[in-house]
Amino acid sequence: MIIRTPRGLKQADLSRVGRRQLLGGLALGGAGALLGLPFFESLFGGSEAQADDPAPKRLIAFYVPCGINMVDFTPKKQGFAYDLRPILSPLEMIRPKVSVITGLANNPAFPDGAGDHASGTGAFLTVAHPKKTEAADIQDGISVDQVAANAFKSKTAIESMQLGIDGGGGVGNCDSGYSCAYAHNISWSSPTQPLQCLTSPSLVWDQLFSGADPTQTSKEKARQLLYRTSILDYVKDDTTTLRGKLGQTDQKKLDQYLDGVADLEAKIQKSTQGPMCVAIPKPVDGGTVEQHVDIMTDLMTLAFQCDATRVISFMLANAGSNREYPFLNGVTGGHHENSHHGGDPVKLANLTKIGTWEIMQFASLCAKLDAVTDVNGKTILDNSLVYLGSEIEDGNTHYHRNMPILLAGSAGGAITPGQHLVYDESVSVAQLYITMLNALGVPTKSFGDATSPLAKL
Amino acid sequence: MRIDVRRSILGFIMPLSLAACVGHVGDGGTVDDTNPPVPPPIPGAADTGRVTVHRLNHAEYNNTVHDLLGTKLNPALNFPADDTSYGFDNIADTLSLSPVQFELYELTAQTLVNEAMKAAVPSSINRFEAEKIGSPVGVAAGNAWNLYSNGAITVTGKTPEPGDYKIRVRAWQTPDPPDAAHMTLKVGMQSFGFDVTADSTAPMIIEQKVTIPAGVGSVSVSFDNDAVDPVTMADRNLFVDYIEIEGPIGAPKTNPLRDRIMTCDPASGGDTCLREILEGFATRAWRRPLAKADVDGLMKFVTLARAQADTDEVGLRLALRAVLLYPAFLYRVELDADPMSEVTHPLTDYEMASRLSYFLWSSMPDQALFDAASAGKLHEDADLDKQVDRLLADPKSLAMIDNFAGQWLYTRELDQHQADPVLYPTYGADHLLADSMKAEADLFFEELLKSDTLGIDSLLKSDFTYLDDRLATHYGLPAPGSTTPVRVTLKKGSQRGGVLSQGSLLTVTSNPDRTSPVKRGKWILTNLLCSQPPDPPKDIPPLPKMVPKGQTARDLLNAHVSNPVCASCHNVMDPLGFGLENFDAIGAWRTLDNGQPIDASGSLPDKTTFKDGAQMASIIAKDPRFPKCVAKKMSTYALGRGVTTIDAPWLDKLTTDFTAKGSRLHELVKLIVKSEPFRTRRGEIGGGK
Repeated sequence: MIIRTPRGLKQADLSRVGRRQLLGGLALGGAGALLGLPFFESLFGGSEAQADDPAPKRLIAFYVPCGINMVDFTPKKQGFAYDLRPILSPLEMIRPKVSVITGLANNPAFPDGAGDHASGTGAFLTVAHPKKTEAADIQDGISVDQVAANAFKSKTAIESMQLGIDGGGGVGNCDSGYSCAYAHNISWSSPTQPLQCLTSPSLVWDQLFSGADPTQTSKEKARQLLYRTSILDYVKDDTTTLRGKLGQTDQKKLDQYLDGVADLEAKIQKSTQGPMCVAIPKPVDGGTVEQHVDIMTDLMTLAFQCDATRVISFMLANAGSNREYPFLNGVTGGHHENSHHGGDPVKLANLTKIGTWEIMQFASLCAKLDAVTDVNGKTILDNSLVYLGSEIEDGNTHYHRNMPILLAGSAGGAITPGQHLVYDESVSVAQLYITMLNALGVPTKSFGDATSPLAKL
Repeated sequence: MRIDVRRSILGFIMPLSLAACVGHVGDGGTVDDTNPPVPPPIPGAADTGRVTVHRLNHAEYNNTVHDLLGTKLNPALNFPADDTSYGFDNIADTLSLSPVQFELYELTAQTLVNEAMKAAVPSSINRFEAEKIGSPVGVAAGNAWNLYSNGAITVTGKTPEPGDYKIRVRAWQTPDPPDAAHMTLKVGMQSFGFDVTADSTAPMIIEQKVTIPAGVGSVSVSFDNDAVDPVTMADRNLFVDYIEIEGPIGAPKTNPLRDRIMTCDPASGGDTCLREILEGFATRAWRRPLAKADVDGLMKFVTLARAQADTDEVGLRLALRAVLLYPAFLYRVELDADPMSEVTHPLTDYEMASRLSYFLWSSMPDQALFDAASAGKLHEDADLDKQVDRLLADPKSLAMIDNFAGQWLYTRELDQHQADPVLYPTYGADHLLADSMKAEADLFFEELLKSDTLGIDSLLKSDFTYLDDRLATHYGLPAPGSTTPVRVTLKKGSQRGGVLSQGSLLTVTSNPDRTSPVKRGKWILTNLLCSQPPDPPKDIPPLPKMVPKGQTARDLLNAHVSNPVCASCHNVMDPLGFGLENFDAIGAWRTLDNGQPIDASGSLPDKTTFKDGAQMASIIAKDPRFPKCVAKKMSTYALGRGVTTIDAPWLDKLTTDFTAKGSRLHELVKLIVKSEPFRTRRGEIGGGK
């Protein structure tokens, strides 16, 4: 399937805030395009929660595939005056808000035999050891974004969003005997439940704004809500009966269905109490990879702006992606092929160009988040944590230590951004996740293979 | 069947010095030619396995809504991708359902029902008399309205349907030369200007065609250039007689999707009719007969709508949405009388109808299958044979090519494959050559699948293929004089014939810029011999970065042989790929690689030698594991579960029968359909309430 994204949905279209914030006289981040568009009553929620939670903390986990050319990534200097190596050059404008963290290890990501891409991606946010299987008995850990989502879920209509660019599919097992579940997903709500990515901008829009019809009266809206809920009640009751007639493997499948019902019911209930939020026109699927990424980062920004969710994970590509980058000057061959560079200077140069493009997408997302003022006068970026990493360190060695990591934002001042921090390889990336969860207001003592937070950050 | 890893792929003992390979093999220390083991069968009972409740995968969902509703939408194209295992994306154990996917099902049910139930809007002409509408400006003047100053007459009200309309305005002016009265017609955001030159003796009718989008609520006519001549006292006014709206023009007179659902008229038939409609629809959607309680449950939506002072139509649509969201639609549900019992029992005929249709059509049963199920005619061998013949003859069986062959022969991968545009300019950014390759592979497989004479050995060596001019030229063969693929008989000794010489497979098993003998060899091992190569070790030393001048890719890969760690496994993969080195990375014939002559010869671990790909193909065609592998691949796809060690006895028997029947695919389909695993099931310990 080829995804097409629309042209022309630019940063300015997003720089709008809800009526609630507008009435409060808060700054609009360059709201040129605000005029002429109707206000939509949104589906989302938590106005009650917002009253005692003036500056929500939020998390984005941003995944890039195939590792990074570390030579052109790792700053030579440590601390606040770190230098921007070529791959990090897109961070220039927001450097004070971004930390570079090197040296951390993701030891559980080391696979059994081959399969580093799937295993590294499976362990990316879980720091758990994915079980080598391509059958139904997948086993990983809960991912850090889902720990945060569990803590925040009562506050927003959508517990968390999983977004990506690549469809899944592909033939055969995904990577040397590892299920595609590890290669195509980074969010795991439980050790056996991966959460699939949505790649269609129009469907993401639907997820954000379905039912947001400005012409409906509140009476009509209430009636449609009643109808939707009745359908869900019906399928829930009958499915529960059906479940009792099935074997236990089947029951587990229907439990996924019933979880889906419960999640949607919760979302619909919250939709009745939501603050006002401005919808952007529904995007059309299609276009280039660059346009696709651009609209996805727009939608992520919008999801935070509308407080539709507080936790997002995003895959810029699937594990071990062999995407080609003909739009990057002189880059030939696929990403994965280039990542097995074997020291070839041409391939390394290609990797630097691809890496720079990836960081540019990350920087663009951060800039979008930094252009929107949040309820406490800080920007959404300031109040959030935006984490970037990959499934391996270097594409040639398939190493799972000295992982390439960026962390933007400060979770409302809970951590100090803008530094290059270097750790030795005995320190687990899971310690960083503990630090991040604590900074987000989710008290955490242990996660993955770690039982303590990170020193220094 | 498990193969001891120390045996080579073709069944010969590997030299012990090459047994280093054992070290990288996964859990069990053996190379399993299947997949993870399952618990042993209960002694004394033939266990035919168990298929987990099967969520429709995306191809099945799309096909099912096409057949159920008549829609042309493909909603599942945008769903999160299905995961794959055992080489296919229809494995019930692997197909999961995330909350996002559930939400999309809910949204999609509404979209589909709205489309299917939309009432056809007949074209009509509505005339609005201007003097009855009036305006803040002007005055009624007989049968018209006199706009004596700049102002507008506005018709409000929702246009029922988006579409093409004709708008007519009958109007005249009282003149004040030189300009005529200027009138603007506004339809929503669109406006059209006219000079009204006629006077009251011969009023003019202005007609404008316009496409009205959804939700436009107003049409207006305005007078823009009011004037009075101070000398002559000529007073320019605009008189409007009426505004007429005709349309939607060219809209279909009926909605066939709606007619299919509305088997009776609820206006006259009342609740009896509503029940009939719901029972008919849900029976097809859930692919089983309904109980009275099922219909009662759906009728509650009609009651709900009535309580809200809504129409029965609203209630009916809610019930239809519920049908499309219910697990009996989204999953293939098969029941056991006792879900806790592991005793094998036959499927019901309705369950067999779905097994057949989803295997051969990737879609729901048609009426003939439902009728056969209802008549109890889907469990005898003869009936099943007859249905297989009928289903395979139906164009819907192309789903077997897209979904089974597409994944087995990797043709699906062609859609995404890219070749290096500098090295392979003929591959083309327009993807047309790739389309021709895919057509060749698809048509070739279709002929094998339906043939009464060709055996599976033709998959590897055939005297025909399907070419259009573009692909023939690419292959260096005479163009058949057709821009669409036609069946071409190949000369004896042709370089082509069989999947191993088809552009499709050769391309998708190549890198964008060079061939990959490793990938090609691995494909042969995995998909023709069902022998999973062992995993490579970690920290593989890189191959030299560039092919040195004057060396071939084969020279480069010889590094695998010189390093004993690599050699243990690559000695079984690479030679198979070397046999295909005469085909470049987009499947064109070549005799040179990097300026050096191609050596497509090879030897297998038992020292059997071949001189080229054709000879290698005939060795594989004679390998007893080849028909068994074909049987296993198709069984996996047919059952939607992994075919594992537990299945070894019946897989052996299936292979024997298949080979005895001339190893024809059509016969294999019938043998699988009549096999015990296909027509029986069982419960499992730990289920139930």
